[in-house]
Amino acid sequence: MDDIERCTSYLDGTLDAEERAALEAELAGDAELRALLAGLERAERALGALEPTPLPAGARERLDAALAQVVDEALTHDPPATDAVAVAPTTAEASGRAVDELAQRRRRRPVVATTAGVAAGLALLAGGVIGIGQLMPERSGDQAMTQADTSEVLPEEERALSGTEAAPPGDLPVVIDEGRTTTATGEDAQGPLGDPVLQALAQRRLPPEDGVRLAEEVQRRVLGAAVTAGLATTQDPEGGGGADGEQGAAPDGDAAQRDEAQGDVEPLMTRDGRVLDPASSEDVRRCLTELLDPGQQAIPATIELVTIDGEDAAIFGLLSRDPDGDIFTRIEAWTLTLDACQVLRFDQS
Amino acid sequence: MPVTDPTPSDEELLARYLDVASERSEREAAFHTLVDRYHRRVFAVCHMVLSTAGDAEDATQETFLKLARNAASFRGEAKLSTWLYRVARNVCTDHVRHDARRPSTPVAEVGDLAEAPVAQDTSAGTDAAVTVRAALDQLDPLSRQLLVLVAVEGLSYAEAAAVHDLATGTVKSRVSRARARLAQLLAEGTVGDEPTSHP
Repeated sequence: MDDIERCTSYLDGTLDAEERAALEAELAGDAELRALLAGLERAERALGALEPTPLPAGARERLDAALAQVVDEALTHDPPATDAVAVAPTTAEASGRAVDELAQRRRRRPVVATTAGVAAGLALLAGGVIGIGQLMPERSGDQAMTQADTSEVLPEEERALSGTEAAPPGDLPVVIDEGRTTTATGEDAQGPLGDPVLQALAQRRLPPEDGVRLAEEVQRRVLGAAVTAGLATTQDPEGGGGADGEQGAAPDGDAAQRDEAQGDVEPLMTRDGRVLDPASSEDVRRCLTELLDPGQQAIPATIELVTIDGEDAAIFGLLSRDPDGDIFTRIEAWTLTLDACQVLRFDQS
Repeated sequence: MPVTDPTPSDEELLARYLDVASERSEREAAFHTLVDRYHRRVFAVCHMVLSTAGDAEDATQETFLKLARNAASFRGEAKLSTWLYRVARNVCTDHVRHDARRPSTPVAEVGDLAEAPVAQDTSAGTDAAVTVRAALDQLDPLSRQLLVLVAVEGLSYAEAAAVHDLATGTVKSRVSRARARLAQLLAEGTVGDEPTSHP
């Protein structure tokens, strides 16, 4: 703990008696330390001029109204679990949007049939093999089969759909396909929602630690750096953090700057061994980097290059955390134009 | 479940809410006490992420709906408050992603979470508030958000860490340094002279 942290802890009252006595002894003979402490006290007083964010008028009443049905059901039934969702009106637009979104979420289900063609053309991305087994040391060595191993043992869809217990531990969940023509509005644009590879990965129900580790590893292999971060994506300008668990952060969302820092980027390859052309590879990496910038701790698992209305686009299939439990079970399908990385469509299972 | 402590902990309140042997009114009161404790701060966190008060209120409602529905899934591995803020964070992230679904919305805009406004300051008109706000604007966005969460909104270091999915030690370090930098800016009287650290 440096002097700043010691003085902050002193002001917070979180130093133990021994540390407090030691600091007070130092303060008696150290003018610089006294000045630091005085400055921190001034900053604290200055922050006192700001008032905490107030609730909007009527917010509590609206929350109580929204909660009434759910709490009532929870208290009536045991265990308190229901899929019912109520959102009390705030603004007409916001309320309509929220209800619409929730209704859409309930309606959406993985669409296997529409992605059958995609599944048939699934191909590995990246030259090497990133196996979940390799990233989870608790798995035994004989389970750490490579993708090549498992692909010879089981057909693709059978492996992918075989579930948590039966799924091979060494499969690389990143696959790529290209060449399909689709639309941004049709059901088939949901793309990866029904993808068996993503479904199998979701069925693993990866806990946060394993999911984040896998996400970062895959991102490093595909992008040269993990861009997963917390809500904020800026790099610490003072060079701090990181040593005690902070996720690797993207430098201000600047893809070009990040590209310069990239190290061991692996070539993007299709299953049949073709290296994706440089322009497409660059586009995919650029858009995936931007897509992951919002702080997504997501595992990029499928990438499909498509043509939409004559324009090159990509449908990225990600596995992310369930908002309720932090378990990696949510499948997301993002359709982006490849030139400007603009979102055309977003779906989630 | 009898709770003798006149000020029950969050975890005790949650246990009371889930206790089917307790009176319905007691269970309901326990849940609403939790709402009393965290409603404003969850809203503050959501408003820090989402641009409008309406969106922040929607996200706050969703967060407490999840608490009501999924309380039984709380495993007690962390404090209830950090679990709640983590849920709020995920709900807000979902809202940001929803906004990104709209056609022609550049993805880059989705990534501006750290550029969101800090506390919705009702004291913005006072000289002192204007001065400190100008100084805060010169901090990097993450440090600014963490400092405001802890020093203004009243979150603990662990709770602020849950909001940003960081380690508690990282948050404590960032907040300490942000306080020191703020003190320096205020002492130098250079507030407003430097370009802000965000667009």
